[in-house]
Amino acid sequence: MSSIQIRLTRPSAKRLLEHLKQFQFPEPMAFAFARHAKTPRHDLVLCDDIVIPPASAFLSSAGHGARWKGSYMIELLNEAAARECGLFIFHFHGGSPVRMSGDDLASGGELLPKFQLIIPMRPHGSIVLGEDSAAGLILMPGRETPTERFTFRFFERRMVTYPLPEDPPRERLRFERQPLARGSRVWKVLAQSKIAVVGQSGGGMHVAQQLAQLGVGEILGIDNDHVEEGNRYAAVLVSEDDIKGKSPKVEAVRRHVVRIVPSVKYTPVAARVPEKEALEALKQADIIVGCVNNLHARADLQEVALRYLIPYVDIGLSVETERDSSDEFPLIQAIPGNVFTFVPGGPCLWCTEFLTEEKLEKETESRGRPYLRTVDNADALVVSFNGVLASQAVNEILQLLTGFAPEEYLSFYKKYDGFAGVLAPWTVRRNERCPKCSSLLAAGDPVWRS
Amino acid sequence: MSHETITRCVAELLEAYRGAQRADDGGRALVRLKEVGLPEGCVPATTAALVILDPGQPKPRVLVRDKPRTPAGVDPRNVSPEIVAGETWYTFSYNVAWDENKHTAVQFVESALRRFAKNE
Repeated sequence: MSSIQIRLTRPSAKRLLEHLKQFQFPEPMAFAFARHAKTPRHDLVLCDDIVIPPASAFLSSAGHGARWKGSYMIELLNEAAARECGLFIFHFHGGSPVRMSGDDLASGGELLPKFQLIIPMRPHGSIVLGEDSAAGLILMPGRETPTERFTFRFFERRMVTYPLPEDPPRERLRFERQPLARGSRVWKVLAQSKIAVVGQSGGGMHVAQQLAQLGVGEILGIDNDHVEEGNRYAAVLVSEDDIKGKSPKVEAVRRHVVRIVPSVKYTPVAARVPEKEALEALKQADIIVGCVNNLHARADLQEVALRYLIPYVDIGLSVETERDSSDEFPLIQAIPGNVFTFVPGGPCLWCTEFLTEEKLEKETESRGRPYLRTVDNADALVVSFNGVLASQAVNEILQLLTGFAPEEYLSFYKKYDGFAGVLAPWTVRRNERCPKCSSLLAAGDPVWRS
Repeated sequence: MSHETITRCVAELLEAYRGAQRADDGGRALVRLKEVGLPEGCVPATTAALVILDPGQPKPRVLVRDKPRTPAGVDPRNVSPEIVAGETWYTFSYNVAWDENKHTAVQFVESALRRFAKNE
């Protein structure tokens, strides 16, 4: 079995932690409905829906721990079964690192097999959260005994994963002059991260190079295309030999980033999203960066990000020229671009109508996906404009991993105007009626039955 | 498609194809067929298939696990990968008439797969 990771969306983590950290007696607790998914790297437990029990659900308790009514438990299990979800119990303790008490272990050991009897196809768990750690018991489908081994990920100003890397004072000295973080922990977070960069051309080459220089642990470069003459003007990591030899783009990027940063792990995936090799690589990623040139690919990346709770940074640029102009220097009409950051539980590309069914239909002339023709090297063949957006995409990744900017500066959508040279934040909000968020967020793998 | 038609189609497919499985995903019913036969001469000769029954769509959709080569030994035209419920499947163009009051889901699947017999 691969390692287990619990993931909570941004709004659910906020709600859960605010509730659990209240000082009250008996101790606050909450439930979460959970789905799961198997990926090549993790068995994921995915939670978006937090249930805070009403006061009427509790029994009076002589001790510190909360006790709730059997009728409430049955009601909750029925709802979980109807929604094909597992059930997780959360509470909060002090202590660093936090540990399950003897009572917690006993009650978890007793309750989880009962939950499994009722809903065998989904995971169940009892988790205690601390200020900077998590502990607990998880019973995965098909398993007879619960495990205490898991990692816990949630999203706030940054993406937080427990256990945090160690930060011994000896190592802290090495980083005391670094502007982004004083300790070694942030650099270890970067070194443990696996980032998928989809599209290894104009934008993606910039992104891969900068990630390598920042010390990211592994870059999954995804592209099935080959280098050609047109890439000379769009991309930073293209040599004469690559053009002459028509190198696969992922091989060209691998050679160049390894030359710049010999310690970087760059894994080339010579496939196109959503081919199987590309999809399996995406599922392993901590963050996905999309540097693609069509809306169908964006819809695919957004779906993976929603389903498995993976942050997704999308960049796009177009250089709009006058059509049919024979001028040597045609008048450029606009150079619009965007940097969109999806944080699980936040607005997605569908919420903002950046993606709509009508726009996807237009891309295939209403003839359906089999008629999608990808256009290589379309439009944005200007290395400097690509570089602006790619650099901002890397800043978004740094924000996700280090949380360097305060909450009030967070912006999920930035619009670029190449004429003005301005990248400006735009306010976007999650659409509560978004058809994709409501059906795909934290959906994980479906439950198959005979 | 009405919910009644979807329920009927799921039952038909589970009964007709050994090892078939069903799942609900985002309001759609999915039926995974472990093995379907492709037209004679195709490589591979069999593959897994997925049927999507969506209440928002007028007819079922059929996708295949592997992109087959046609009897002429070439890649069929207008076949492309698509993500469905976290897996890659191949969607392909076909033109199959569908009257939910008249046709069965099995008829629809078998007609759609016959498209690969075309030597293109």
